[in-house]
Amino acid sequence: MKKLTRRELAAGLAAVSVAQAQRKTNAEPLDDLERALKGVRDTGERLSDFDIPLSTEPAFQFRA
Amino acid sequence: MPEFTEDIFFATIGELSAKLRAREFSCVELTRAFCDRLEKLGPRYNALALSLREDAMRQARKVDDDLRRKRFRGPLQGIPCGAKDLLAVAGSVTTWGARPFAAQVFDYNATVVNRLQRARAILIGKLSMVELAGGGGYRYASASLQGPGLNPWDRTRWSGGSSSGSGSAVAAALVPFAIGSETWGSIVTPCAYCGVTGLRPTYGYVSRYGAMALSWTMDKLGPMCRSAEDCGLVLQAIAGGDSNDPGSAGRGFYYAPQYVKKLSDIRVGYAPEDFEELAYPAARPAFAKALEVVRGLGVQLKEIRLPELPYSMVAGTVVGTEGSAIFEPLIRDGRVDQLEDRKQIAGLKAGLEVKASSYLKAMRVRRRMQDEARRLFGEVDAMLAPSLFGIASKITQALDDPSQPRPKPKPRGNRDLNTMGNLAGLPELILPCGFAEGMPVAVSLVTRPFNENLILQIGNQFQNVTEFHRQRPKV
Repeated sequence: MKKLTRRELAAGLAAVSVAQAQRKTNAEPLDDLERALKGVRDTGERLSDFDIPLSTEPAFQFRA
Repeated sequence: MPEFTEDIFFATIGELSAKLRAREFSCVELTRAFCDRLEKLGPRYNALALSLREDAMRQARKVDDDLRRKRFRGPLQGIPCGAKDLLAVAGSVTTWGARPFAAQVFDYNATVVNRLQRARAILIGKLSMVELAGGGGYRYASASLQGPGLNPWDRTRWSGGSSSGSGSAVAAALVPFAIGSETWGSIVTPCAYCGVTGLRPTYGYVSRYGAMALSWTMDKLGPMCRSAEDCGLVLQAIAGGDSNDPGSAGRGFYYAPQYVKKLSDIRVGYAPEDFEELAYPAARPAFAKALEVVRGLGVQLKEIRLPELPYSMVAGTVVGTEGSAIFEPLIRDGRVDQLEDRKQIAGLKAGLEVKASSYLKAMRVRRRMQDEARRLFGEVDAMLAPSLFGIASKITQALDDPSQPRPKPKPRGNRDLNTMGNLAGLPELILPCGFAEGMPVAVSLVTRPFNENLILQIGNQFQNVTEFHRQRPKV
């Protein structure tokens, strides 16, 4: 087993802490993203369950 | 040099116009005074995105030339104003409130900016906003390049979004009026929270050419002012057909509320529970008083409720899908991660995953809502409801925090009136109606498309017999 110098050990520890910090900052947006994606899926399902006559066209005009 | 008192800074367009014509002060003096105030106090509320002093002073000198020659060009001539920072002003930075666009410069004016110039209004500043108008949804008031919009009535509270700077600036009399935009609540919220009178016009009345797009089928631009009359005057100047805007209705607006209908012939729909159990308890006395004032105007009040439909789900799907499609390049190249608010980043990314079938289903349900709106406005001429049930939240409070005052699940009342109005392209007038815990609250009038004069007529009468719109925060 290779013996680490103090400099190599310090560099290794620093790299680990940077990686941990990155994981931490990325983790929160991922939670938000997961929640947002779940919202998209749930909304899609609820919309699909909503009954509407076959003849109803999408609303693309907004005239009086 | 005349002394510019608070009475002048808080004057309406009509009052300022009369003083300019009477040469009580020149347009250059007035513009300089407002520029000084906006630059000094704007940062206090995080309301100022960019001062346009140099151009403004140039325009003001031209107006003074006209006034000396008695060339009167209408009520906005020489009146300073501000515009939400999503409107392009040629050669000036337009940030859309978002870091990825902090250095964005257009070489053309938004149509609404040209229309203001044609009316000889003096644009003195770009006003801050929630980043990208909050299209992905956002958790904190700080979701803005300029920081959280601070409320002039209490700087620990939010000014509302997404037209945050427009709300603060009008409330603190940093400008006599401002242009805001609404896709889903972005004029109504800052007006209600800041005690400002606002008008979200019919979809298509005001061209959006040169305005940041968030939702092609829901975006509207409108005035935020000191009174209903000012809203009418500004709408008259900025409305009109524009071949550059595919959503343009191709028609102008003539402000003539006096010719609409006798008040006694106007039927106004409402739901009592909106003013009682659905409202934040401290706001109920103000809302009850507003309802009594409207009744006292002599209109016919009629209890009526919106049909139960999934308004928020449809609006969320439409805004989310269209917004993400618009900002797809920003999302794909990763610059979206530079936005302030993580919820917004996630919302924009997730919007790209909406199925086409979901979007089209939402648009088909939206058609049903439009049909229901048409039916509703066969039974009544206008609907009345609190603009928002509560007061401005603390800026540190998460906007999706369940501890915020929220309506109980039942009864439904007409809590979806704003959302339905946005989905069906209906106009909404926001009228300050008092205070709760020292913060402004407001009621809204909604009517059928292109019927702005009717709600402006009621609004004028409401403000003739009340002083809520005249209240001033300590600036």
